[in-house]
Amino acid sequence: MDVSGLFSYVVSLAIMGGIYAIFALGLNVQWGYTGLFNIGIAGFFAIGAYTSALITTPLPEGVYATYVQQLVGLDLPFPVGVLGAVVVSGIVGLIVGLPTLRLREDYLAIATIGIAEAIRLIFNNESWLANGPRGLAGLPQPLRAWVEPQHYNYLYLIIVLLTVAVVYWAIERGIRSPWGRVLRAIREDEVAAAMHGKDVFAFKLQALVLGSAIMGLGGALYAHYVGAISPDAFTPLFGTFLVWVMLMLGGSGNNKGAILGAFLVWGIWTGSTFVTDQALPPFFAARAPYVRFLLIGLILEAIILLRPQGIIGEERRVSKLLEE
Amino acid sequence: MTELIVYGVVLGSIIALGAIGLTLLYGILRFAHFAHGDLMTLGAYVVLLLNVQLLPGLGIPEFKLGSLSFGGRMLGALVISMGVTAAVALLIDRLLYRPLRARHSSPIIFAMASLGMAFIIRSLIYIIWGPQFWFYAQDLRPAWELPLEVRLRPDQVFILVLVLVLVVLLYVFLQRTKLGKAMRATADNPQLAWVCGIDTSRVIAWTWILGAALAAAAGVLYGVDAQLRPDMGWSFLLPLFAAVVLGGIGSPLGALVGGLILGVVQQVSTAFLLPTYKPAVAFLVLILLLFIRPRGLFGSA
Amino acid sequence: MALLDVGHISSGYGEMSILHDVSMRVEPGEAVTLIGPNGAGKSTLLRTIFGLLTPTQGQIRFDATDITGMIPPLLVRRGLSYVPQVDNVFPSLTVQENLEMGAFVRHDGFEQRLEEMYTFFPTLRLKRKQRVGSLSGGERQMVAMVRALMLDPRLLLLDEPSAGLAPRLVGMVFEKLAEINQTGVALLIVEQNTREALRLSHRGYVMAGGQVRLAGESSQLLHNEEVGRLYLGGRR
Repeated sequence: MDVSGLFSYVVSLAIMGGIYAIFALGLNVQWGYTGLFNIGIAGFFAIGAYTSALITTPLPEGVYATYVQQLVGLDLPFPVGVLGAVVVSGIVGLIVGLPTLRLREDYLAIATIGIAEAIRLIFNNESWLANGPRGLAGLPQPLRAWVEPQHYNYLYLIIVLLTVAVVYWAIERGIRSPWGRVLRAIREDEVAAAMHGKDVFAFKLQALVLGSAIMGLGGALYAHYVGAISPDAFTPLFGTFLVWVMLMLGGSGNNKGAILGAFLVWGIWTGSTFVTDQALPPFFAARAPYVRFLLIGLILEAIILLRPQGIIGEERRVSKLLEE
Repeated sequence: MTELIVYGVVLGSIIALGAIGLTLLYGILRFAHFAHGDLMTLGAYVVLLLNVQLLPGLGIPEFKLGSLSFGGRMLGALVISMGVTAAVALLIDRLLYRPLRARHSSPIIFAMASLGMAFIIRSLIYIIWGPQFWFYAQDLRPAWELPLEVRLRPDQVFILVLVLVLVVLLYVFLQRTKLGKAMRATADNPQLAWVCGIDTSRVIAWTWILGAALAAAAGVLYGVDAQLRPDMGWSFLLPLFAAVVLGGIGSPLGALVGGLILGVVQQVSTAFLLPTYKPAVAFLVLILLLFIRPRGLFGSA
Repeated sequence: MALLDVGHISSGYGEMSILHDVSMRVEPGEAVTLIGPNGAGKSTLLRTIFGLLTPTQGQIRFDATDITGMIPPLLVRRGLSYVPQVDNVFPSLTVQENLEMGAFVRHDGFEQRLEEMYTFFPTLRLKRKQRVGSLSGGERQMVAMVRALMLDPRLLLLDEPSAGLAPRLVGMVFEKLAEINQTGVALLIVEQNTREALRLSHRGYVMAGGQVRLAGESSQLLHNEEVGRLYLGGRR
């Protein structure tokens, strides 16, 4: 590969790494700081992507209408799409959290699997909604006109990295605020937090919704980067499992860990194609993606057994919990 | 409609078999075993390996049984598969969950580890057998005409009978044998069981053996009735958990009843919705349950 | 020689150390009481003896054998038994099944022992097929104690056997404990019900702040002013 080819490969790697970093940051708010076990990330990812897609594309007209069906097509600018994605994802988080957060912690886990499945099934089968399995294409890319097509990715990378920085900064501020301290107190010892008079349910719900909204943001950025989405882009592996491995590897409870883990695991995931393409015997080469799934699964188990705190580990407590 | 209900009972009995194992694991090991569906898949594929790929080649005949689509050889493969799946589950416990127990990890860490295991098992199945569908038998299976316009295939009657047999065996085991009572005691109060001198690691081992064997059987029965695909277990996960919650976590009887109800509800839903929505229906049942009666039918508070 | 000999035990939960240099003993057939304010470490001592906690220092001997840190399945086979304060029965099992669990490690002689216990505690025979979860508090406590007796232990450890029981039941519990003691079973009882417990036992230890503060014959402790002071002044 020549230098410019390599460079643009690295750029697209970085874009996806950045998008996943946003997912990991959202998950960190839910799991790292509040201890919520969300295994339906793929659902929030999908909702964010689809919402932004439906908001920013026009309703198909004329000859297109025979090929593409969608429920709404507002043809609004990119920022509106992103905003819509954030809001709708947050609402879905609310829907999932309301029945489950007062109950056992694993009920949330099961409910999130369910919502992700339900979302996938609905988008796959209800073609009138967003064109079913064929999905939506031609999603507008922001600021396309500013640069030449071959340099567009650099611009998008900047957009993604800026978003990561903003989200990171916002969460860091939030976590050091009194609100953030309560979240972490809840994770440490829910009973004690409740006895201090904190409405544990409300805080958990807020963390869940906030994390979901952030994931929706990531979904929107994904949609406009790739330019076309369909239900099978949001599988449990790509949408949920990978993000968990990223957060666990980087260090849950740590925003830097979330970002590090995202880039690292995405690098491993895409980088391993080189290994599997070259090193595997022919039989396995055809099953290469599954070999990579296996690798990712083994990495997660290794982390859990050998270094559960991840590479960076949880942050030192910045301030005492529940300062009165 | 009657036919839907009857088929729902068949499907429900398969769900029940998986749910019973899942609830035992919940009660004794105290975590949500997210790899349970994939143990079902594993069980099904081991039988595929034995009965379709290996044994015919070794010249072992099928020993056909009446109008069933399979025979004695398949049943032998089933038993072996239950054993193999149990052994795999024990190995996983030894390597993964036992160290976590020694560390007093939280239930969520266990659940997360089991989630990882689910993906690992599924990846291995994809690698070894590929993403396509497989079938145990290719021949057409005519249905029996029963009263009330119900048509039931002989295979499906077999499923009901086998599930019944396994459930009865499990009941006898849990209620009449010392080890079974020790399992129930450990589910009630693990620390007191320890204080009584009960060897809790033996109880845990047997829980995995039973849970995995039942899951394997469920997977095979599903394969007999429908087809084999690598993600078949994952798609059972929602119905399994819904059945467990419906019946009350930790209650095998509850899991049985919950499974049957869920099977019927899912099947009846196909009168209004596409069949692919069945897991979503299970999810809906679950959400409703969580609003109305989170502890389920037979669960403790 | 003492049946149970606790020597210089320090123990606790993780970083929190509760017991500091505790020594005490129980002679064969004796009934010994541990009293003291909440948080004194009495329950912790029982749990350390029964292997639920491993001491950081010291040694525990049972019948001259070193049992420090030995796990319950082994202790139960040597004649030691323990009744926790709470969660001391299997609620979804029947009375008889609970007792069966008490005899889990040794099968021979079970039927005979069951008969003995049913004779000693007729109420249990009556309710033997009932789920223990549906029994009253007093009946549950009885099941808890008999469960611990199924293997004919030489030493029975009890953590607050009268806790949460109605006053008239308290008397019954201590009556039964006295009867059990008379059959030769040594008792080590942690109790808040100081008077009843000291009346039942031969000797007592007063603990506070993780240490033994006072020891002596029960009759003496009953009338000792310092005991009262330690009790009331025990709160830090």
